[in-house]
Amino acid sequence: MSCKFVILLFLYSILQFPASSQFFYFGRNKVQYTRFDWHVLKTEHFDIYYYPEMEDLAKRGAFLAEESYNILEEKFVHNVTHRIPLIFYSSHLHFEQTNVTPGLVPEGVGGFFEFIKGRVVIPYNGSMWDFQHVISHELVHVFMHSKINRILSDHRMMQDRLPPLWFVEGLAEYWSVVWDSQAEMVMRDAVINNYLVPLSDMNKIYGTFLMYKEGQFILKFISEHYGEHCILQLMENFWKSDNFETVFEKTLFKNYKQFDDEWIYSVKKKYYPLLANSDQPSGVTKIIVGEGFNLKPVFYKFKDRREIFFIGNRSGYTSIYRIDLDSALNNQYYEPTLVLTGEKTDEFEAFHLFQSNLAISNSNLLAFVTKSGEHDAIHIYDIEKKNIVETFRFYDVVSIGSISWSSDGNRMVLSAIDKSGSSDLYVFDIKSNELQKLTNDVYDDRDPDWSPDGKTIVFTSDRTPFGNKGKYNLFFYDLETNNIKYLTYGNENYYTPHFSSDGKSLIFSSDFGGARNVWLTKLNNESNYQEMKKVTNFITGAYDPIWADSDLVFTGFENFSFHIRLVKNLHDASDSSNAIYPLNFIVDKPVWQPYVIEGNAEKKSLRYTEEYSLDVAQSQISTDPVFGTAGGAFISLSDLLGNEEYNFLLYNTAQSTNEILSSFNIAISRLSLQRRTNYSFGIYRFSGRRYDLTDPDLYFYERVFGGYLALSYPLSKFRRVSLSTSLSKSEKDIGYDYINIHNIDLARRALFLSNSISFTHDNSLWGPTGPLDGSRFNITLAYTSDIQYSHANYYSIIFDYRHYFRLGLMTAYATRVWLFYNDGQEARRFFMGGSWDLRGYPRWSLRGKKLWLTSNELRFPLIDKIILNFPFGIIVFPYIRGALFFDAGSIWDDKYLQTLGSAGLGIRFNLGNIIVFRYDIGKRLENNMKRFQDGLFYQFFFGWDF
Amino acid sequence: MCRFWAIVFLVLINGCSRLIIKKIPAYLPSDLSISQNDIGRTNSTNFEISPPLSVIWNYTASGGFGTFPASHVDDIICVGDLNGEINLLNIKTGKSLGSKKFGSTIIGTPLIDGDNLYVALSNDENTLNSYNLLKGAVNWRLALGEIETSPLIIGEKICVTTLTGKLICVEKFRGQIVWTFDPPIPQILKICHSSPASDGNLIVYSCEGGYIFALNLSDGKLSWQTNIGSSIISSPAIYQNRVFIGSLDSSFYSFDLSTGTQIWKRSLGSSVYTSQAVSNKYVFVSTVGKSLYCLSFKDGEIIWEKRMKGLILSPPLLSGKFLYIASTDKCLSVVDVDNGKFVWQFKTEDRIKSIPLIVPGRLFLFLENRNIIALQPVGDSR
Repeated sequence: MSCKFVILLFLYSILQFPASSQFFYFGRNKVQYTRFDWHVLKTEHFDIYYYPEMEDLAKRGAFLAEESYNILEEKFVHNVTHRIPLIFYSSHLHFEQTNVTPGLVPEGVGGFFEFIKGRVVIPYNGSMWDFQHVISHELVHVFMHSKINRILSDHRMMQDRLPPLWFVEGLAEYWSVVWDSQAEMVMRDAVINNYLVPLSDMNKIYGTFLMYKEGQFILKFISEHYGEHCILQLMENFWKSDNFETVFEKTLFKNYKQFDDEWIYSVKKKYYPLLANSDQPSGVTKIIVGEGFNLKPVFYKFKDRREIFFIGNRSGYTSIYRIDLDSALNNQYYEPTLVLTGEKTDEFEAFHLFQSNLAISNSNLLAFVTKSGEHDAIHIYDIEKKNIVETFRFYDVVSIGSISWSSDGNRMVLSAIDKSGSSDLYVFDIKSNELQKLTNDVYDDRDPDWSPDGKTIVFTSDRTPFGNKGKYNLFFYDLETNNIKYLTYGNENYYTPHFSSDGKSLIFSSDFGGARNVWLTKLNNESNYQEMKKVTNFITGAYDPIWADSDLVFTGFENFSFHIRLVKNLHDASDSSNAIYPLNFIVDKPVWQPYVIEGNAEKKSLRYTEEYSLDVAQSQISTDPVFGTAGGAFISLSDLLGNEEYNFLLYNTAQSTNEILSSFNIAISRLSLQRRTNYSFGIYRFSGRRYDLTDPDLYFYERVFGGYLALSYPLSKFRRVSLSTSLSKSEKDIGYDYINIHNIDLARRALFLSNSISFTHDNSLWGPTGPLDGSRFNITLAYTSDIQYSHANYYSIIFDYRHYFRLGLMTAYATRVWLFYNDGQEARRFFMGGSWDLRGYPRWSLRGKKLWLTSNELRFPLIDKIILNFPFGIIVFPYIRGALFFDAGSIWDDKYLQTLGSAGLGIRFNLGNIIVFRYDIGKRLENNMKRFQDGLFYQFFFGWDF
Repeated sequence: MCRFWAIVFLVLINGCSRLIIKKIPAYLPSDLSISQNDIGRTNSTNFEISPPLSVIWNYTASGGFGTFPASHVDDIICVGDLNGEINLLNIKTGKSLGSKKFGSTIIGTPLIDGDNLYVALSNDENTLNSYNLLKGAVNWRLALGEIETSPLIIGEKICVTTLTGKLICVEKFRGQIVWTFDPPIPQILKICHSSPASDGNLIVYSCEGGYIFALNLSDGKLSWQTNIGSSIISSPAIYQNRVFIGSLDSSFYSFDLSTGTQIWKRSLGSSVYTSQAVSNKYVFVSTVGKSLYCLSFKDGEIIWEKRMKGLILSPPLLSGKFLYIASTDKCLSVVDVDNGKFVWQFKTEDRIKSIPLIVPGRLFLFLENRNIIALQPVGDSR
């Protein structure tokens, strides 16, 4: 949840109630750390948005985009008639600040296509190959969207649907990237471990990486067995049915079930024989850490203690763990210990699970990388003292990949991306705090490892003739001569090299020959002949190999998990290897050079100016038995980058013709998200009949007009301070009938000045029905006074604290404390009761100016998924959860009345990740909680757990 | 109650639409409308129209258009659209002479023959229909399967290919099936998007599996078949005892009509999705790579190649010394057939994916925005 949402929520609450400070919300912040000076590069088909620091990259991206466009135009047999907005960021950390989408952008998102304005947003990660892949991937979405809409339009059908996600994403992969070793690994694993999901059940893995890869595989299969044109026909025939399975059947003359029989048999026939000559990691290696995603192990030895530190996501938060190696070897259920929790604090906002490694110095210092504010930072953790001893932040680099200590512990080599997007090697001198660039070119240099003698750095890079096909080879960087020398040369990938402690051997992972495995080479300076030997022979893959004394520790992929495993005696394993390949090669081709768009293709580069276009336009007419008919419209406009937004609200509540002019309700607001301080201001004029839930309940007529200003400053992703002020003129009339009956006139005029300040913290981790870990906190202070007539004058205090104690992977104890306090003249009343707060009592049946509430809930999983198969299709009820709860609280005006409570149990269903259906059964605790009610109460509600 | 009347109203405006003309369109042997009389599907017309042209009227249809949406007879053009509606328009004024919704998508060319209209329907209906334009009533309706191609009228027969790969010959007056050819190959290989072409004796069509079949028109017996080893989406053309066809393997082929022997094959660098225009000297074909080729009729040598700005999704149309070619950059280009030079270009308001139609003194364009545009030579007041 972003600041934007908070401000929007604030906006709508302030438009409805002068006492705006009574409303609040949680949520994390999308912090605009960086000031981007946006420019636009116009090419034949694209408007490319970039900032000057990355101009070269933008031109390379422009070339790749135009190249992809031409390829896709042929593949789709379709052209896109509008200009395509392509927004580039030079790093993922910059990309995470985009306002094109209102939500937070997770680390795993490599780019996205936004449907409303057709915007494509792509970060650079240092690899030109990946950049090309993501550009093509997103452009497939653009083309598909355009083509499908065109087809539906030709047949006069609503343009309200797309093919299913497996097809959409599968095609985006299939037409943007070759079938690589990673895709092969996932499919092999799925087949061998029997979790391949048939097309007819694809909903079971909706939105997962497996679905992407299965989709890609299925389309590859269709292309190879039926012809590539059949993929096009699946789109051309899209108009033939609302049900894509019918379209599929009309195109391939097979339904899903028949097709599943065919392609699954085919992949089994292909992959089962692999078991004859290759192994699964679990078959031949010892497990160190199982369960979850565990990567980047690093070996630590202190006296007799042998430990592995690693980055893992075992609970939802990515964190650093340690495990005693020998204990783990002796006991497969031995659990690792949490060292540092990530993604909960400002300092450790994110560990880059698949990108950044861990490194331990000879002086027992663990270095690791986290996102910390605007850039990545390197933290130094003293393993024995168990504390962070230093944190290094760099102005020159944005994101940091892998790091490695020099043997003297005074320097570190790191791979990092600067603001231009260039991914190079740097040496950081800890004592002088100086960062020196080792490489400085367009090539992507990664995974450096410093030799024990301190003279050489081995690293992987795409600086080969095969680099433009996404292949990474190994190189030595000689620190004395500054020369770069090939270690490997080939159309394969070589990653994460590590020197042995004596510097005479090197292990690395490579997909040479197919699957990614661990290889070893002995470094022989006296002979020109060198060879590499295959140490592991897995069907799936091995990552991040490291030395653990004479043993090999690595990350193995199996059963769609990353486990840390061990091979005893690495040299024995390599000596017995039959797979030996020479490393004496001839570099016979020039290194690839990136193309940039130039000449006629590059039309012009301009500074970005905000041009607003429609986001939402909605009109509505509503009829209420009490308030009559109201009609109106809401329009929202924003600029292309989503930084600035205008909202217009207009509706009329007139009940007779002579009320039309006086019953116009208008609000205009502007929301700015461009800078770190988000702000919103606006004016409004509301009038109409209102119903006040005060006692006695009454109707009144109110005219309000005024303006407001709201500011929100995110201190970090997890914390923010918000301020607001509003000035509004309110005129309230009570009907004559009421005056005649009650003989009182509650009409009043007021000029309200309302100010509020609030602090919000939120680092909660959400499960399918609500938070499971972390905490949320909000405190708001507000003061509202009638500065003209002194008819109203009150203050508000809101305190809301929620804490979630994790008891298991999907089990948590949640607690909440509310203290709300309004006091003064015309202070508004709070409402309580219902499933949202004090359960067991009718919704909003309890009213008062002051309240306290505590809720306690044990959340636990009941059923992960119920699938009902009907002739017309399947219905899935995923994530069915249970809860045991106990609530207590009270609400009162001036005199404390009684303490109320309830206890019971409930069931929750997640409905399409949009909303949660909650059903509670329990007993009220009545009479100052002295006795349970007779019978039971039953309540249902649509909404997330607190 | 309101709902009832709404339904009644909808039935009245939809179900009761009738397509009636007052006189039988005059058929002149010299009339060469695209699909009706050019049984060889050469995409060439005897009517010459010289650019520059100017717009004289336009008409908005109810849906988008297929590749061959219209035919012409007398002073009428008959247009079928993807929304399943047939429109008869006066070629001079653009006034509608009548329209009728046939209930399902019309992808192929609707044909007028005498007082009858022949329409093939796709998807839900899957029928070949004969409709009497004088009576405004259906003569016959045959459920043949899904049809996404244009029927071919040859004498008293009407032949049509189905999506499932059958070629069916029907007696056009009574609607009786004369013969059916169903290739004995797996279903996935015989999916058919290819309209048949004929020389009056043999009838030829192709399937996605790369097969080309030549049958005796009289009895539907297979005369020869060949497989080029790559998918074929486009329709063949027959001219001077030759069969011409392009394929998705980026090649263009010429076969001997009598024997099926390959005469020549030309690699064009990109897939061929559209059918070709053929004259006694040249064969004109476009690829998805935005190139328009003029090949030698005799040996397939490339005479010239023209690179267009947009994709070419509509087949070229030959009219005398001019070749009319529409592209998705919203442009109709007129090219000199001998040297490939642009003679004239006309920008349109939307993409063109359908072949133009030329009748005496008029050229019609069928735009993606559902507009039919009529053009005539500048200064021509006919």
